[in-house]
Amino acid sequence: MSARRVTLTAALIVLALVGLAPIVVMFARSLSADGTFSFENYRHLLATGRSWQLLSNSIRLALATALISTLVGLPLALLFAKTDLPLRRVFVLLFALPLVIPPYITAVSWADTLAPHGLASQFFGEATTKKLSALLFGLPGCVLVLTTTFMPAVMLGTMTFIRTINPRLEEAARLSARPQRLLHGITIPLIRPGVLLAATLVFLLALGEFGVPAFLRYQVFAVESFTQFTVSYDFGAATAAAVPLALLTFVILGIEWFVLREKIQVLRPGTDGGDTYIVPLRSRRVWLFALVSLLCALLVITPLLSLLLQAGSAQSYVHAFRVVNDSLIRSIFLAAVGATALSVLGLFVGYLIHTRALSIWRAVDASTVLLFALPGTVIGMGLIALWNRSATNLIYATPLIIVFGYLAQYTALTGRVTVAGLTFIPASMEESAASAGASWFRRIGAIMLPLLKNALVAGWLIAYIFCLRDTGITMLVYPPGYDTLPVRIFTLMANGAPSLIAAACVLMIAATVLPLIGVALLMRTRRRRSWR
Amino acid sequence: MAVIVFNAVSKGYSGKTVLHDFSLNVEDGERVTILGPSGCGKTTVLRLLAGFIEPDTGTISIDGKVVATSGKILQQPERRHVGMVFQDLALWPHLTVAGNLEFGLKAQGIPKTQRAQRIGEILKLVDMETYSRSRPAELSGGQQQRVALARALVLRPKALLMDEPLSNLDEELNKHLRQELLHLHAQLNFTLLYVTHDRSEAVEIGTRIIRMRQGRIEQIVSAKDFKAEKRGEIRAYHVD
Repeated sequence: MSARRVTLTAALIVLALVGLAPIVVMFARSLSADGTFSFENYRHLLATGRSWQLLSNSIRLALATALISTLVGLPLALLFAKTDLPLRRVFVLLFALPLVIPPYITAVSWADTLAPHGLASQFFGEATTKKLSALLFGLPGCVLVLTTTFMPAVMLGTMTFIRTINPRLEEAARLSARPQRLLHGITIPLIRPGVLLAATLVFLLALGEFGVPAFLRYQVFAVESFTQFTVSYDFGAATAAAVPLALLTFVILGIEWFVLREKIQVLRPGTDGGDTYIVPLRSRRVWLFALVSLLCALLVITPLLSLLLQAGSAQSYVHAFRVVNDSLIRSIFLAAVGATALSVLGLFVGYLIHTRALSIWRAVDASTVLLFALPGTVIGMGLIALWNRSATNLIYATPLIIVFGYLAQYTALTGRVTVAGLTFIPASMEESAASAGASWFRRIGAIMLPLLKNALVAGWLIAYIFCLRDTGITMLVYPPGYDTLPVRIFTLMANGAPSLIAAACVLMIAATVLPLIGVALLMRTRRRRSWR
Repeated sequence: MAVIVFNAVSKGYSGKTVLHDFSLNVEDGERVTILGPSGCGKTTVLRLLAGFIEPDTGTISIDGKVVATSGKILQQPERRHVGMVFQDLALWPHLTVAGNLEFGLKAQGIPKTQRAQRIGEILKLVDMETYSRSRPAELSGGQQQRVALARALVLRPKALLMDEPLSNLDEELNKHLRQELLHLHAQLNFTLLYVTHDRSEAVEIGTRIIRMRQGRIEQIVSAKDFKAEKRGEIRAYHVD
């Protein structure tokens, strides 16, 4: 067996142990009552009308979030990627900000905005604010928060797809059509599969989200599953409540794969985007800029400002840091470890998918996507079902279980980034190293890794952000004394002072954004040096 | 009267000039080939004429009207009435053959009955009428080539620009399509600007050959003289 085959198989075993096996064991546990095979948990789940209500609520929330995210995200992506709108890069960063912070922090900030003496009351008066606040706690509020959080996924995804369009396709249309017709007739139809893919992802992410509905008191399956486990200590009922979400995810991904598998092939990366056609907005530039600024102020600036106002003075931050510093440091450490482990696993998984080195590459690809789309609470439940045994306490009773959770859910991210990076590297690079007599490890280490450097850094950062903001898995599996900052803030929300919670949320945002700024500055400096 | 005029046009990217002081007159119905190695600026000439990029200095005129001047595009691509066949053909994958042809006609406001008639005519001319409902991915390389040509010609352009359109085909098909192109030109009499790096292609298609090197015109010669020069009979006229 070659070194390549052994290494890739080992990577798959890791993925199976941390991701797939837990889901299978969880499903098996849901079919057992008092140690024997039984459908009792499901019978109990389906006996009440509540389950159908939960399912209906879950689907309504996911559908509304996906629909509005697409309706807002698609025009924004077109404006930022295809026009000369002023400050479009700044807008991209601002609109993307909610994606990198835990969604419930956005919920907290909206709650602060609509609080009796919050920012909104100063503009709309207390009576109107009270009505708006009532709307926040329920489906409209959940949709607002999740749209703010996940809309950037549609926006960024669409922008990426726009950049993959061969510029010649648009130039061919420019010879006969005006910009508006070009966008409607060529650009939008070409990116439609990509937009649908992003919308499906948002649907699944919203379906599995538990922090926001829990905070805004909207009953969905993800919350039910968590409540059954943490409040009722009923593991069988909790896993049974998690299975409908897993099945729904599986079905949606199946439909998506069936509908989009051919169409998505049309879009292949290969252009550097350098000569992408930028539509001049001309007289529409001013009012579109005003409209986008207003939307940005409403969706991003206002809740952040409320959070800062709620946190108050510098003393609040000092106090918050004293209270949460251990969780903050642990979060950053675990996110860094998780991102590093994910980069390694993602490298091998991405390499396997790209090179089709093993015959099961398609199943591996589908598995990582399924695990990413599964609600965090479902993966958490699966990890408990598999690893909560005395023989595996070395893993379950330590923060290793959190890293396992990260590996299970987020390998799709680093794997996909690796695949994207490999697409730009000709196969001949590795082949020529092989013909020169280099072993596989040497080829990977000396040829592929340096060529993949930028993709690996990007993958690490994305993984770091997702590990840092993770709530669903960590909330369920963290060992006593090893809570992370998102978990600590979530528990503080039950009885902590609003200023303390707001300050802790700001610290959380800083922990997420500062490394991004650091890496961006570092890359800018290096780029400048290379120009010289 | 010259239908296309380049007057002292220069163009650069990222501080590097790729086209130096380029001047050229192309007569109505003329077939001009631009011959040169990769990176010599020949594609830039077509992109400037199509209106995708603007010249840094100099002017470009079509039919006596200045369409671009130093740093400015005065007439947008859709108003220049030029057709183009790209090196990678750039057929829209989400549209059928008929859809690819109809897009431009619709954009130009041609009524539906006329659109159908013109599509039918041009598809017949390129021998593709039975493929009107096919998608580009379902066609062979040669068929895709014909569709790209039909898409450009269906708009009845003043000039047709072709950017190494046959370079990806095997030799036999390449030769066959050259003949088809000449046949179409004889029927429709459009002005043709054809970019290639292949000498035999340049000689066969062009009545006049512009040889370019490092962004400059090195030689302008008739196809007849070019052949004679190749045989060593005459010295060609070199541009300083």
